[in-house]
Amino acid sequence: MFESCLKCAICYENCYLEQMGVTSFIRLPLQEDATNIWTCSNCWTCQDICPVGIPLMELKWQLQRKVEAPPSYGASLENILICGYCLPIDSDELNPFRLDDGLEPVTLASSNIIATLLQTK
Amino acid sequence: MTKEKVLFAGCLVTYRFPEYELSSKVVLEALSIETHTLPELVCCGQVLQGVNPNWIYMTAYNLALMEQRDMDIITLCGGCTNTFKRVQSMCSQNPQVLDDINQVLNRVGLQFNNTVKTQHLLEVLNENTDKIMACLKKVIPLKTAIMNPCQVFRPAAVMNFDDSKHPQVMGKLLGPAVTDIIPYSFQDNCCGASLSMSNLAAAYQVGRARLEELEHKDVDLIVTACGNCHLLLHGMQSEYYSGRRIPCMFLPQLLGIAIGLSPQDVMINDPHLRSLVTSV
Repeated sequence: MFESCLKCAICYENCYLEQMGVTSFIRLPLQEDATNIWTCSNCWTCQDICPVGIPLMELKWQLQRKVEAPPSYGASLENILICGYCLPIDSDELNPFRLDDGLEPVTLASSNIIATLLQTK
Repeated sequence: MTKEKVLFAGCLVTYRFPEYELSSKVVLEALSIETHTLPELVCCGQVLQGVNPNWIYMTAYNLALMEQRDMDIITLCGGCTNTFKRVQSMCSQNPQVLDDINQVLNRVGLQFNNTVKTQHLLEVLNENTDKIMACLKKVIPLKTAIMNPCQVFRPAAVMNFDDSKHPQVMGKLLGPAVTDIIPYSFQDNCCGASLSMSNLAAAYQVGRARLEELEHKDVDLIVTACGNCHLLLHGMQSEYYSGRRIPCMFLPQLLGIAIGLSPQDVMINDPHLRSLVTSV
């Protein structure tokens, strides 16, 4: 997966989490250790700075999809399958407040559409 | 001709931060940019990238819905901006991706031609800097710190906006509107909010480090331009920080006050925040 990696460690040195003492996913290309695969906040610094252009973020997501996700991600997916949003948005509950605030109402997509989009393969 | 705009609020802003959506809408209106909400929009897909390989079809579904109405997109969060622009870039670079997307979208009666334009609020405001500066009514006496929404700027090749390592746009927009913008060492670092889903202790550590420095620098207010940054630094602040509370405000709220809108107009409901911006 990291065949073209020069092991130059510039990604590691520029990871703000590692600079703060938080062990992050960026240990992966250097040590092939996926223990902290979910410790990343998607700031893209590592990928932008990689001198050989390794798509670190895409590789991270591919690996994440092979292991069990932290529970919050499961909850997000469940919400999406119900209402289209990763948070439990109930338009009947929300819209009176939106109208009061001067915002247009939200209309949710049907769960069939979401299921078709997410479960196609 | 300028197309009509969708203000894409996404999950977090729709659920939790109507003040960001409303203040963006009214500030854009003041610049003669009318925005709308569209029915049947869904999550941008950002949160599913490490969970479901079909996330890209959700992103494309939103893009196609907005394209179908011949409307361009103004996003409010870094993550939504990032996924929309990246999927559009993938489609431009590889026609196979677009074909694949259309095979799925056809099943829900949509087609995507990749003609829609996505911009984060900061990009739209940046294009209207002269107009904003001409509208400024007051300088707000606040020591202000900036929280850059990192995914609006990186990956640089796709996002193609501002200095991706040291973004300048928020300082440029707010500099003339407040008395002091306080530089600090974590200014160009990610807020860490996404970590709250996988490693809460790390998210708290990142938030705490920023707040400690800003308290030390006697900052009055942190200005955000993304729901996630705002959630960690404002919404969750009391969960991990025991020092002096440093409130956050969304950029269009503060900018709105500077161009003469009232706290009600930009939905500044919190009495402390209201007193900060009305003590001019």
